[in-house]
Amino acid sequence: MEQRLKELLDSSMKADSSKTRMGMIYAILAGPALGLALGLLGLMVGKAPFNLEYPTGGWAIVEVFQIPFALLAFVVFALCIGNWREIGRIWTSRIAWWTLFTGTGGFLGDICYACSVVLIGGAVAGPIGGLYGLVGAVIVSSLYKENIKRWSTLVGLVLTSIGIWIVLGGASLVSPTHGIYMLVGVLIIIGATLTWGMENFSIAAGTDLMAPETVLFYRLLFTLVIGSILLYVLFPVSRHMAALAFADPKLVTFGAVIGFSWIIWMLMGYYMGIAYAGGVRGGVLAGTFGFFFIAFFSMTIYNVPFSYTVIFGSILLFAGAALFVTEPKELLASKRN
Amino acid sequence: MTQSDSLAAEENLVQEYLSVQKNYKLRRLAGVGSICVVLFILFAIIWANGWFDVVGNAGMGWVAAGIFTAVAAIGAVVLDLFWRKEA
Repeated sequence: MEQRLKELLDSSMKADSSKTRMGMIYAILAGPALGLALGLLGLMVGKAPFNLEYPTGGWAIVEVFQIPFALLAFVVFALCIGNWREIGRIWTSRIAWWTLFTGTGGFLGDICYACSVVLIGGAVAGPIGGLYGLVGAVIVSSLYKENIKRWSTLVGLVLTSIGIWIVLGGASLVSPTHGIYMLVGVLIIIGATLTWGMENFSIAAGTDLMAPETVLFYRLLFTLVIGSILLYVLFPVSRHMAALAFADPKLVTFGAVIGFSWIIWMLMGYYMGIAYAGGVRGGVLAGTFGFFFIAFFSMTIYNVPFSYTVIFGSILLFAGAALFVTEPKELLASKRN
Repeated sequence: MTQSDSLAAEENLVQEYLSVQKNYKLRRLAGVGSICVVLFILFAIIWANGWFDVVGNAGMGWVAAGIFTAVAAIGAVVLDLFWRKEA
């Protein structure tokens, strides 16, 4: 009997660790989807009609193309997995409301990203935006009392900071604007990392209670409703942009590519990654890998000048993130004993 | 209920959970697959109309990146299905 119980315990522990690893793989493999989507967004903000007013055009792409098509893709997904029945269940729990509220705040990050990309370009906004994973990890670990104070975390943070410093050095070469505009762009994307970091935590908390897809549906719906109202009321020129954009089938097709590939990352990398691997590992990996691909695709297929400095800085960011999510062997051993 | 009874009940629960999980993973594969199919249709429309000027001179390289993206995402679910069998 004792033996059987031990076996069950053992297999459950193994299953747990393989689920965590699977979540990390989800987060990594979904990365290119984010690069494809947000790199394209970075390219389109400079084109008509989104260049009518800066940086309103960035926000307009989010509300006109990215979110509506992502919501459409989500509906297709929910119908396939049969999860749409779960969507109403969220209103039965007060904690679910609260996590939904903080998760929805993540849409401010989307808007900040789109506006910042106008000022500093996808190649730079990408790697810095990816830092949201670290912000989320710090919030998750402090609220969940998860201990991340290890030597590897410290070295990881140092590497990450050096990586950012190098990326910013390369930024002066690839950024479309300089001086005060570039500084504002960097500050806006740092603002995005803070709201995304909160979203990261709320996904970690929310997916304990419900399927990750359920939270995502409301996150998209609220982003569409609240974001559109704010956009069209505050910036009248955006109405004109939306009308022009919808009249052009070419722009609509490319807009659909943004929405459909962005949702792949949101579902697989961000929400599934965190649901499987937790807020620290899933969040950090989804962030760094996804946002690395924004920089990489921007400089390879989206015509931003290629910069080895940005690539080198991003690799250091990676290494830092990898150290952040690994637990040293001796620590694991001592935990098991 | 004896201890062995409760252990058997627990094992049954684990088995049920595993079968539900597998079903769910298959459906997720179908879901991600359909999103990728739509993405491919969009690429086909862009390619048929020669609309590559939006992405500058990247052209087919851009489509290749799109295909790579879809394959990576589907690959993740396939890995989940076959590699993480024991769950």
